Amino acid sequence: MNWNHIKALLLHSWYHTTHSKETQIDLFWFTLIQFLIFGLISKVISAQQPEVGTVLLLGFLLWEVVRIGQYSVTVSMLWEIWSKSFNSLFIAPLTMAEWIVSQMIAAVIKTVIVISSLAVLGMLFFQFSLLGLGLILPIYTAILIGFAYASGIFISGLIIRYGTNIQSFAWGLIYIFQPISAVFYPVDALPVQIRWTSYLSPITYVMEAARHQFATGEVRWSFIGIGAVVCLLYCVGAGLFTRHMYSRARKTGEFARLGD
Amino acid sequence: MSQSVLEVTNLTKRYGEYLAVDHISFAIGEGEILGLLGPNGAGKSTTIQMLLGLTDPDAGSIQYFGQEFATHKVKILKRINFASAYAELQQRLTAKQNLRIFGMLYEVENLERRIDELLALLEVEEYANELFWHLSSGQKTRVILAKALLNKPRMILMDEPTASLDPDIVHKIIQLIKELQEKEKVSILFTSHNMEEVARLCDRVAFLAKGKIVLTDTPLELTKKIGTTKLLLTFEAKQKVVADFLKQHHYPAEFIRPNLVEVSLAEENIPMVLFELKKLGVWITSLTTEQPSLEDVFLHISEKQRT
Repeated sequence: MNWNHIKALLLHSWYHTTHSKETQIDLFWFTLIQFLIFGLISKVISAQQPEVGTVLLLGFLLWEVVRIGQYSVTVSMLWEIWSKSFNSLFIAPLTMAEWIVSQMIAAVIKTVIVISSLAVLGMLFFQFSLLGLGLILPIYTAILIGFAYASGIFISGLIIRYGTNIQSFAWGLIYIFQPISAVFYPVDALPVQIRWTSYLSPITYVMEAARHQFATGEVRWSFIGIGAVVCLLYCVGAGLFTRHMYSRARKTGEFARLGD
Repeated sequence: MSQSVLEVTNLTKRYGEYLAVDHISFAIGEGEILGLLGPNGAGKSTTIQMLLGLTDPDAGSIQYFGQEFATHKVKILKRINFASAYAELQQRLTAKQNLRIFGMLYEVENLERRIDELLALLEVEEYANELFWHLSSGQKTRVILAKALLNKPRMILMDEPTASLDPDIVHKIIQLIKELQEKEKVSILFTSHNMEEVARLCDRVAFLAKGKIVLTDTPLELTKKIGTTKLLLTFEAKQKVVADFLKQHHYPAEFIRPNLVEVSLAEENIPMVLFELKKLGVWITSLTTEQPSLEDVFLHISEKQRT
């Protein structure tokens, strides 16, 4: 792993984000608008049931950690493919591992900037503070970003193998997890028959633990531990999958034709 | 030949049933320019993709600087580069930002100075801060050439680097490539559909057809192998006599006008043809001969492969 290469790609990401209105709108504006809508809804609901309003905003912000992280890892690859420049990068002495690590670092920077800004707005306008999660907040965030990485790397693998035919996965695939991950409601709200699926998602453990902590002040370490292990399994699986897809695409010639 | 910078041995690539590259072997010496020519689908692109490490070969070996490409890929990629009129850089970055990123990937020393030098050399300095997608295709090609020279490569793969450029710029690029070869001993693998360019630049040419190298030689020797010269004859009247004579002797001929014919024949047969026609009473008013060009070789091979 050459850190000069990673520095180059981080600078590349900075240049791209500052030039691309689409990226700015996707990452900052959409998130801000949605946050304001959720904030206002939570304000209305909080007049009757204060804890429900908190659950909504907490769920929204923690979910956005996953969405922004995953989007950032995957769409950065798509931007290169749309520009037909992805191959040019790999004609230079760059490895796929360096590309992925640099996108992971860029993703965490973007996520922290967006979520911190929203957290401040939450305090100012909706009397909601993520800091209520105290020192456990970075742990929750790490698990969620870990899952964002896993899904981002998995989708990158699909794109490397199947090209832009499946590019909509870059925005849409993560939403498969939203209904089963107890983002805005507890697992108990799901029908009994599909409740087990919730526990396949590491997001569930974070959401349940965070809500419980907000309500009682008590940290559910067991949930955090299980969530971290499940997340790690997803990361390993996604890494192996993408390595296989990369190797396959180089054999079939699809990697060289990406963007054609 | 001087020491090999690139040595390809039995390189093979198959896509399902289709054999795209069929056990090709060739080498490029230091400071040598090898033209890789062939009709569409001959296997040029697949070969270049394998030489750049974008596609894995099924069999065979690629060695740069005496080292196996498969096992020393990153180290080798630092010393080679690629330019093509069809390559692109990130559209949302400026020309200079793109070059800066690549310069950092190649770990170029005094990067900013090197970028400025190359932008000036390729006469694109005034577009340095333009977004890449705002540039014309000719400007893009020149920025990509600047990218290809950033790391002072010892070997450059050039896939139609002058396509879409204006003739004056093409002339400058050809000069630049010649200088790279002569002064810096850079080795170049060159593909182009412009045969004149290939004949001017390349020390040797390898013809690919259906995934195989069917001919390798210097441009001059290749044209000799075709063995036919074009003879243009203008004569007075007696078109039928001329046509009958040529038909009788099986010389391929095309009447451009009733009194102007183009005949393809071996150079040594020209005096005999002229003598026989004179004997038949044909009054020849002018004659021109045209040596076969690399384009004729290209057409000859393409035709042969089709049949």
